[in-house]
Amino acid sequence: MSTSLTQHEIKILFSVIQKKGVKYVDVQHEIVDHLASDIELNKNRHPNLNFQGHIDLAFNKFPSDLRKIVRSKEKSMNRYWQRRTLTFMKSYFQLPTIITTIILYLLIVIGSLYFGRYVLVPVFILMLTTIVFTLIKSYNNSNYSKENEKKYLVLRMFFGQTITMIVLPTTLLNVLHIFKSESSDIFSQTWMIYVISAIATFTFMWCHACLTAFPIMLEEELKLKYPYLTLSI
Amino acid sequence: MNAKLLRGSLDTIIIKLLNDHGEMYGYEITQKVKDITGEEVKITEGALYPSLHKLEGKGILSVETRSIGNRFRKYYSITKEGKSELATMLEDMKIYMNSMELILNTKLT
Repeated sequence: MSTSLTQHEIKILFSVIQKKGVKYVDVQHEIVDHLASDIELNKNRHPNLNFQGHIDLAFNKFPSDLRKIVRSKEKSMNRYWQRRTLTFMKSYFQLPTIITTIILYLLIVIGSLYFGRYVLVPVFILMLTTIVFTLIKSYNNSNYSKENEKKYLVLRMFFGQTITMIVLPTTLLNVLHIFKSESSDIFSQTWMIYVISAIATFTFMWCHACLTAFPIMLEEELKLKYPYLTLSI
Repeated sequence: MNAKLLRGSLDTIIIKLLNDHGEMYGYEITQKVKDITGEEVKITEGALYPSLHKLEGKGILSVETRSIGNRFRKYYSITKEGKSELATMLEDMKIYMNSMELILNTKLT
């Protein structure tokens, strides 16, 4: 039979892990449970060993640099959110939503082909406004704070992924200037209009997802995997 | 057992265990492997967690965290994608072992 650790002993484990460079609370929880399970088992095997001795024994099984585990978690969580968000984005290209996507794209393309800058410039302004609005709303909708982002890897990676994808289109638009021919302006190059319209459509779709689906996705994730982290989204 | 030999098959071991035993937590996986192999194979914590995290990131494993008294525990289980991945991994392992038998001229199993 194993002897359960006390709340005080669990707290000691958290502080030891923190000192060893594991700054994220969500990663700490997993390592603490592992160490605690090992110590509980070893308490029966070595009843005369003190708690510090048990900690040392359990830590010997871990790499000396725990940040290796943290890095692996960062990498996999980044991949996880990429996969989840991009999988969701596929729904914009499936029936019935694809009809809205196509209509939006065609409106921008046709408008730009016929009216040039009189459509593209307002679209660009609207795009920037939507981006700013989405960013503000994303931060304000949750009890999200910079402090929480530093503490919880799940939040850092989630907001990292969603915000990067919001800002990405504006970067792409800058890249397009490299391909712009010097003799003509951006509105006279038809292929450029198609690309800009696609970027604008994607931005509107991504912002829409950030305001509607992604917060729900995060909330479900927190409920299932991070019950110790209570955030109202 | 040589850790380098184990490293290449760690993902397969984890997925197979989760497939056979349902949900498991990290420490339980290390103990189960020790029990099954009579302590011949010991999965190190430094290899286990990066592997679990990688498989979770790929969508092969799913996770649920539950309170167990004064702490929380993460339970891993295999997803539908994981089940089809396991079939491929076991097939690859069989081919690998057969090839090794031929190369080493020894019966491995």
